[in-house]
Amino acid sequence: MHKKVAFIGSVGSGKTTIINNLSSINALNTDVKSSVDIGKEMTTVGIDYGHIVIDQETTLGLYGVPGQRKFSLIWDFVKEGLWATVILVKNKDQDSLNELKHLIDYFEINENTLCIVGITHVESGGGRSTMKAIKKLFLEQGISPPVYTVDARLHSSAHLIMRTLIAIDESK
Amino acid sequence: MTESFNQVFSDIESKLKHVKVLNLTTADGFPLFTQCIDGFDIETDKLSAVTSSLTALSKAAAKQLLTSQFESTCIETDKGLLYMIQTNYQDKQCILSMLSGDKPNLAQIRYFMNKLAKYIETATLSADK
Repeated sequence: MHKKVAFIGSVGSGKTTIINNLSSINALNTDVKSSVDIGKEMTTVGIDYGHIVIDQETTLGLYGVPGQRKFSLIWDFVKEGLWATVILVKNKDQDSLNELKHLIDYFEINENTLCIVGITHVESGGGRSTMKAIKKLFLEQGISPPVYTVDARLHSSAHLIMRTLIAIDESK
Repeated sequence: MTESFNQVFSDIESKLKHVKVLNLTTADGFPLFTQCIDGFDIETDKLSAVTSSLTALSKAAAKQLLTSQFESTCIETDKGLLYMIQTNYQDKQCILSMLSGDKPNLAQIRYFMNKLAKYIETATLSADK
């Protein structure tokens, strides 16, 4: 069975990095040079696609979408038929937090959705205030997904997210 | 010398029938210039975002599946087509796109859009009418 996992979050939250890290194939990336200052050189305008083989019967398709709302065309086709959603939030970034509510609504995340939130760009021991703000926002929606700090650059950190998703799914 | 984008549009409209929209956008989807025929309206931001996404996907497909350099993308419908081609403008990677109406001639469109994309690389354009 091919299961579809979406990686969503604001610009620069680490979606492309985490997919490159997790994928067992060369990930498909659609990054282009940014023409405005967004705090980094490249930005995703199409889709990132990676692939993980879990066992003989299960593969995960990893779909990263652009962070900018104007690319919601891509959001529309990625959100169909999702098995799980990973939301990445940049630590101490108000724009990233502000975008969270919009993403929850757009991707129709509710108590039945398999979902994990990863806080990225965290210095060691940090991320507490962002975690508190995220949990508060989700509670207001009546949802309480696991929230972790994650280093998108580290394979082990990225894998923890996938293992957690699988564990939650199996415990249902 | 600066040329208005409106003039560029008029030139291409005189060569190709049924042109509806000509758009130049940055590779990351910010519209630079858009010109439509009278009476035709389009959401410029949406057109720019869509051409940016589709071109990026086409480039990735060209690289990974065909192991070759991307040149252009064309979407054909029963009512016309959307043609997108890479270019550079003022040292920025850009996409030139054209929406065409009834019975488009793809070979002609490809020829003139290629020519225009090359011209834009060295041109200075303005939004003046």
